Amino acid sequence: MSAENCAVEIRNLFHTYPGGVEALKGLSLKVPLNSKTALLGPNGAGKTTLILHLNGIFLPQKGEVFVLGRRVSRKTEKWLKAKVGLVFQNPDDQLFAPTVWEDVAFGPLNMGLKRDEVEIRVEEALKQVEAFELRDRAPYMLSWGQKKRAAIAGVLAMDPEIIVLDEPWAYLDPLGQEQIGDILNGLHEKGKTIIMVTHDVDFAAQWADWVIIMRDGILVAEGEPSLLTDEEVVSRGGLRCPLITRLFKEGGLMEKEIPYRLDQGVQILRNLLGGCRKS
Amino acid sequence: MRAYSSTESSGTFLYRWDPRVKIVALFVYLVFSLSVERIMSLLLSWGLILLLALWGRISLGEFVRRMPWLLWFGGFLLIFYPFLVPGKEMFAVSCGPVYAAASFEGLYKGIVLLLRLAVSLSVLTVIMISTGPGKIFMALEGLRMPAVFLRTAEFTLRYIYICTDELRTMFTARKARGFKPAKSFFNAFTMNTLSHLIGMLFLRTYSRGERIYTAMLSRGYTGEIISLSSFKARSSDYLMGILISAVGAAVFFLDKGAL
Ligand SMILES: Nc1ncnc2c1ncn2[C@@H]1O[C@H](COP(=O)(O)OP(=O)(O)OP(=O)(O)O)[C@@H](O)[C@H]1O
Ligand SMILES: [Mg+2]
Repeated sequence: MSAENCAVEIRNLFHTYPGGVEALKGLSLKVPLNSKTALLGPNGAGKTTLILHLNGIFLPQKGEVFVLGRRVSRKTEKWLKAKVGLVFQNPDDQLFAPTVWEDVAFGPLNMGLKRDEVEIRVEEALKQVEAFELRDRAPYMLSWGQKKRAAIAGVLAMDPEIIVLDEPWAYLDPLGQEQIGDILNGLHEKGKTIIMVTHDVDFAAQWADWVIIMRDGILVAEGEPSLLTDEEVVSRGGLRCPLITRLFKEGGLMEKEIPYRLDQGVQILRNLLGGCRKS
Repeated sequence: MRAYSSTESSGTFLYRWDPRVKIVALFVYLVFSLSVERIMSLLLSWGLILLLALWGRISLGEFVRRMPWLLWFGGFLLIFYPFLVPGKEMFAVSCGPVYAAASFEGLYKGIVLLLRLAVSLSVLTVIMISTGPGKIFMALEGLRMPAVFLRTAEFTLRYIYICTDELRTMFTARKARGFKPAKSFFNAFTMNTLSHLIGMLFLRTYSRGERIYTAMLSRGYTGEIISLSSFKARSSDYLMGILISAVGAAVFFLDKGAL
């Protein structure tokens, strides 16, 4: 993967918070262009700190960040904010305007777009997340799922190339999760790069086509989701293997090509049981 | 704004009234009402505002719910003003060496202040209920209010919600672990818990505020909020505005004995 095919490349990045907590300690990683990347790591691994670097909220104290091939510095700040959209963990932190409509319009207006363009974008973004009927409501009075969708719309309206979501599943019910999963898949099909921060290994295995594991501010592993079947790697990352993998491993059912997605597991079981079922 | 106009057709005229004209007209009315001195005139201008609210189908419940302030403050005025203003003695309270006399002039002043407060709050409540926070800010912007004031007010509003939200969840969390505020406010444990709660509230709203600011930066905020405000006032909007201002003026001149 050369720098041109990377949505994001990080080289030897350090970040120390005031007060002396070293959140990133020489992190290096790559996110392929137009991938569905899951960024995994235990609590305190530095995931949130990392994504704040992707959109220029934090500039590298030491090390380098490249986004879409460009080196991030103070000069790229404005460009960066239009290219990388961050959806924060808690929508209450993100929604601040008196109405949903105004909140979604906030980003496009900051980009200096013309009024007509802003209106079109806001409408499209709200429709994309099925929140258009909420446009006149006050964000702090919405349900969690509605807030989450409004927050995503606020980022979509800026039409970024890369969309980063911090723990989008937190507190969402299964239907809400599915709904947001569908929205993200739709965006991926349109050529966007999606980076999702999560602790949920099962979800990552199911959804992602690229996986990054970090812990204590450094990279543990990156690669295809099949690396989640490697128990040694996964436990170094402070995580567990996906349930499907454990089923086959602990059951001693497979030696190699251990499945990590539901459909793979089902396929293998079908093959194994195929003979019995017919008879 | 397109997105707004689609929902604007609902409600009575008071709700549909161009918010800029509404704010200016009611403000003019308020200035006139606050300049009258006789109790009868104040009662009249208060009554007229209540009539306006009634005509605009503002729900009585909502109207009253936003007024508990009035009782607190008003009660305070009525009780203390007679003692603060010297004049013809109404009655006196003596308690040991302390001797306080209530005056008729003080009572009169108290009632006048109470009524002024009532008129002001009623006007504000009518504006608030029939316009909604989002459009009020846009309207004020349309009226060329300095952006700094508006942003500050907007953020205050936002932060009040955050504060009460944080406070409610923290209080619930304490109650869930068996905390029951004692009957007396001066109970040591209750005091202690409550003061911790308030301390935490400051810290939490502070870090919350920081996170909100970060989120705003990430969407390209540079310190300047750009907004799209556009309202279209029709002639009926202006007519209504003139009418309300004229009624306010009429009450004023009536009070001065000019009518
Ligand atoms: N504002 C801050 N000030 C000081 N230290 C901080 C701050 N934010 C985070 N940290 C510290 O930096 C480290 C990394 O935190 P970060 O929030 O990036 O982790 P995370 O991987 O996002 O964790 P989680 O999964 O719990 O969200 C932690 O040790 C944390 O205590
Ligand atoms: Mg985090």
